[in-house]
Amino acid sequence: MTPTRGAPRAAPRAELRISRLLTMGIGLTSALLVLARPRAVLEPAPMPDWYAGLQLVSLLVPTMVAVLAPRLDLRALRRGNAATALTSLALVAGAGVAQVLLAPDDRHVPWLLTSLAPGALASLIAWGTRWAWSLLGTATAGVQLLRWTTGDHTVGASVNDLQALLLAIGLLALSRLLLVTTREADRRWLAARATAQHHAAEAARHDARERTAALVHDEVLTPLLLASRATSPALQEAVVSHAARAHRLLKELAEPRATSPSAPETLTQQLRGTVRAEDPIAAYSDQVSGTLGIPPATAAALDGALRQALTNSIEHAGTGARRAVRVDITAAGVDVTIQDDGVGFDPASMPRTRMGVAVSILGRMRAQPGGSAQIDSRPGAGTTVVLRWRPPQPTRVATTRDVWLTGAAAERTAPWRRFQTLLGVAFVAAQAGLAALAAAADPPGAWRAAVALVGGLIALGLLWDPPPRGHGTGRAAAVVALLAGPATLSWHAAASGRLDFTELWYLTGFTWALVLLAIRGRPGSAAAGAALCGLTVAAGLAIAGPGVGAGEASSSLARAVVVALLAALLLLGLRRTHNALLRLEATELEHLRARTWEQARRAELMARSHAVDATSGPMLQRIATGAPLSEAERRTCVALEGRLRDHYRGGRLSRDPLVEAAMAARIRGVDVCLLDDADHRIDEPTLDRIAGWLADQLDGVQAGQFVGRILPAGRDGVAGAVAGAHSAVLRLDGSAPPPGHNAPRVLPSYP
Amino acid sequence: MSEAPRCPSEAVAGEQRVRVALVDDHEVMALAVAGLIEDTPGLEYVGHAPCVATLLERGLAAELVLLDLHLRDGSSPVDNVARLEQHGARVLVLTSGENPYLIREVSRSGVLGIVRKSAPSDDIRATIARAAAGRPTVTTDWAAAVDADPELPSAPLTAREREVLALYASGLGAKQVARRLQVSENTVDDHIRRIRQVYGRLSRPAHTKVELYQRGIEDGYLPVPTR
Repeated sequence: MTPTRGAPRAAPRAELRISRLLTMGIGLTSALLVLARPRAVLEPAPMPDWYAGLQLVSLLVPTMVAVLAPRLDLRALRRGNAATALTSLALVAGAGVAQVLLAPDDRHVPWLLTSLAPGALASLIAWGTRWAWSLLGTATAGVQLLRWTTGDHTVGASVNDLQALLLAIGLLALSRLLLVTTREADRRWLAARATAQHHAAEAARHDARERTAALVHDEVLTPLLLASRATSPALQEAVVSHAARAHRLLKELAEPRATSPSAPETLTQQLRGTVRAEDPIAAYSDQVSGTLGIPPATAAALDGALRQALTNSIEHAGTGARRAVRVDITAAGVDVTIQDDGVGFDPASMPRTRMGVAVSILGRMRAQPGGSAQIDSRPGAGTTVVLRWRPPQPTRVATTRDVWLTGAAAERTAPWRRFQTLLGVAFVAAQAGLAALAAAADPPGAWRAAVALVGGLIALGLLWDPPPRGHGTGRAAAVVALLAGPATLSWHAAASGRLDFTELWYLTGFTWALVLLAIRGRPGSAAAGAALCGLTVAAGLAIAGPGVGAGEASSSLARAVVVALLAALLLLGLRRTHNALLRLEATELEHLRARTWEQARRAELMARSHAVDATSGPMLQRIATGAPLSEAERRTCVALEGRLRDHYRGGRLSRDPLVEAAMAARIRGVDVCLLDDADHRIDEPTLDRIAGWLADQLDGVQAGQFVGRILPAGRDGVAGAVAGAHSAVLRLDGSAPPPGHNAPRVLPSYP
Repeated sequence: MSEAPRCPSEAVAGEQRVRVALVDDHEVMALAVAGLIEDTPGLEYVGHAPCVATLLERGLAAELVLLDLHLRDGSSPVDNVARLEQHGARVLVLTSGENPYLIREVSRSGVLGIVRKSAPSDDIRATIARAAAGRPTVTTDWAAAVDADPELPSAPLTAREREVLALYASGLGAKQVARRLQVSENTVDDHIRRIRQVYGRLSRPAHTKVELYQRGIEDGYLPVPTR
């Protein structure tokens, strides 16, 4: 897992991406609006020319922002969208102003004003939810006011406005959901980074402390101790070489060692060496197919566990048993199999003590992330030990549905559900009303309205309650069919020469169902449905030729289809970037962990080994010179060994002034033993007091043994001191010891 | 192994010398211990091995084995003690004295004592001699580890026995403990024997998270904690 990327990104990106996508969607919509009815945009006669300019600006601004969007950060995006929102508001206001300048007969509501979604979405990104709803409400109210004051209201126009409003609300709600979800995802990403870093650093420091402790125990304590006692020449010699080795290892500990993962060949070499060392006649085979980076800690664990398994087999399998070791390394992981044809054992009937080695093999492998071990045996049928390591995979990459589930989870919150229900009810009521209107306007064609209404309502019903994994393909296809089917009815209407908005209300209305389909996890189907419906009706329109209200119908249809298409495309784009984002984040998290681990470990190792080297290094070097030690130097060796020991066994007692007092006492020849036997927390001032008290006691002791101990919880007193026959106890409240314990509080000094 | 001259007062009547082996991963330790044992009458040093498996493999027959508490092969001390006892040896544990968890782990098994390698040579010699005669020694390290065992409160020990243990754990020797409690040393020995018995038989519950953690350490699933 060698990091191959550059510096990690500091800021999470999900919200940024969504904002960019939305901005581009707004720009695209604006551009398409120009393309859909260029005349209405560029020459909105009889509106004044400056109004035409204003319209153009209100369309150009979002388009330009959209073009720049991939390069902008969140702040710039917000500013750009604010500009878009402001221009759309200016457009409404400008239209109002323009009406004053027009002749009463010319007053009308410009077509462009009926499209409020882009402005609302832009204000969502720029200023947030509340402002977005306010802007939408204000703009809608403004347009309606304009309609009433100009007298430009027809049933078709009202229906158009209503559906435009509903679509805008739907898109706004969808976008808000997306922004909220991504913002939450970003927040969680930052938290995950912080947690990962923290844990990795802690684990690394712990590991470093363990390594140092192991080194101290294994290598440093022994030469110090024996140097003080060495008598025979052979022992002297051994101590000298041991001390040299210890000093060298201390120095090496602080140096950066091989931290990058090793190649499979290195591991097989190491394991082969182990097998040869433990059991020269064992059969060994390995196979490496594929590349894999194996962390040093895991390699060490595998090696150690292999050694244990071999040792165990040698011990228990009986004489004449033969062992075979096989190592398989693939890109998926490492498998080490140790098999013997010995006497085997019955795991169920083994006493616990005999299972110790087996258990520690399991423990050692399990301590590695991704490691496991399996031990199988039957009496008379030999034993097989399998050591397995699988590199930890980055966190499960969410399936495509999951991004909707996150959204779906947000959907389940009460206010959102209420809103959805309200919207749904309003929508259905509106559509039913329209159906009634259409039926009234064209009684022979009423059946078309009824069919469309029923189809649309069924489609909505199918979409209403999404199952946990999102809608299935069948359901999505059914919805598209239920919407596109009635679209074909428009041909019938076209053939009979009556194709206007009152015919198309169901189509433009139910595109909301397509948006819902997209939200619920099937943006592809929604896009297909929108395209299908649009094409179907366009075909019908082509057949019909120009007719009354055809312009209105086609433009509203165009708008509806475009909006639905955009929603679908947006969500499609979101789905793709989401997965890429998840994968990227998981990898980055792993790299972050590895980096943090290494850095923290190195820092801690250096600190610890320097601390040990500072006190014991010079003496180790002195011993390593080979010259015999003076009496004072021998005493110093004892003192240094004791000091190192105190750091571990003495725990919290290892602090000044006690450390100094212990050193001095040991040099005087006192055998000092410091024990921290309290498992509970003790605050620092109390610990300082205990250390000070023990140091005082120790200063009075000239020879013999001294034991200073922090007592376990629940005893009479917090600390005790014993020298020879005399003992003392420290109580925090300063009370006198109970009768029967006539020990003095301060130890007498020996002559 | 050269024969050390026998002092009449210390000759073990009519018996051959007790064979002592050492299990420790440092060769240099073997040299030091060999010297110590050869200076002690009644003991014969038979050899050294870096781990228990090797010792048994080499067929070093010994009645007493000095076992280093923390060996580098990752074996558990309890397991080592059990294997050695199975092969008919009694065990005396040597420790650098820096890890109370390991000491506690092994103190439940029937070892003849837990001796700090850095204790005064005379003390070590005396403990080995006692162990060779099959008599256990109470050391501060052993007593302190047992006394601080979180499960000790639940053990069926009398108040007197706990007192004995606490006094040993604080650093007093056998004589001082007897004097402090105003009883004979034999009585104190009896108490210690009972404590060993009870402690060895302490159940190993795993009902709480803390207990589970302790069992995990003992069973080798979790790394032994160091400070």
